[in-house]
Amino acid sequence: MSKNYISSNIRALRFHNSEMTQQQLADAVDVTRQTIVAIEKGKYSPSLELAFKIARVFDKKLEDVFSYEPTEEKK
Amino acid sequence: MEKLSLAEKRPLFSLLTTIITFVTYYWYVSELYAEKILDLQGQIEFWSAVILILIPVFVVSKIILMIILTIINTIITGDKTRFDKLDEFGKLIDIKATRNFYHVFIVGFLVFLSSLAFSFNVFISFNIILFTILVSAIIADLSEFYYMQSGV
Repeated sequence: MSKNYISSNIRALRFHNSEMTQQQLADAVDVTRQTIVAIEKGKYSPSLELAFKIARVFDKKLEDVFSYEPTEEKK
Repeated sequence: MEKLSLAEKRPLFSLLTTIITFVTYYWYVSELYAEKILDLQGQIEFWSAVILILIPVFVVSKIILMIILTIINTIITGDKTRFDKLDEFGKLIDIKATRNFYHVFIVGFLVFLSSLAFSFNVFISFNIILFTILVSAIIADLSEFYYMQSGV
């Protein structure tokens, strides 16, 4: 399985956004709940379009929601 | 244990449908084959028809399953999401599962060709390709479930 270096703080943002459920967020960006679960757990890196949609739901910039954190550099 | 989501249930139900459809179809075909006395040409025509018919049978059974599951899910949960709805994550998983399907199918097809090259019984050769289709379909469904759980 390829390593995903994209992490997100969607879970915290949902909590601070009237405790929005995963399903509500999924409906807002037109994906399945499973996709939101996978993104939150760092098991899937969303497309740019989906990342922007999610950031827009929380009224945040992309980098406030997602971050790129390579744990090991290829040499 | 965490409750399975709709997206995770789909490959499991698909797997169940694949097995039930194949077993029922194979049982019917075997009964039909046992009643017939066929020469070599007749056997080749019979088993070729069996494989050709199996593909639309699989497609139709999957479509019926998705319709039934969507109806049942809507009645139980009130959620009108279609069972076959795929978003970008689902599509990526679908592509990877299909890739695994083809990998297994190619191996089975090569075994099938080898069995013909080494003059195996027609019954055995065509059963190799039939069961290759079954195993490939099972691998695709299991792959889909695995990728849903572990991510891509």
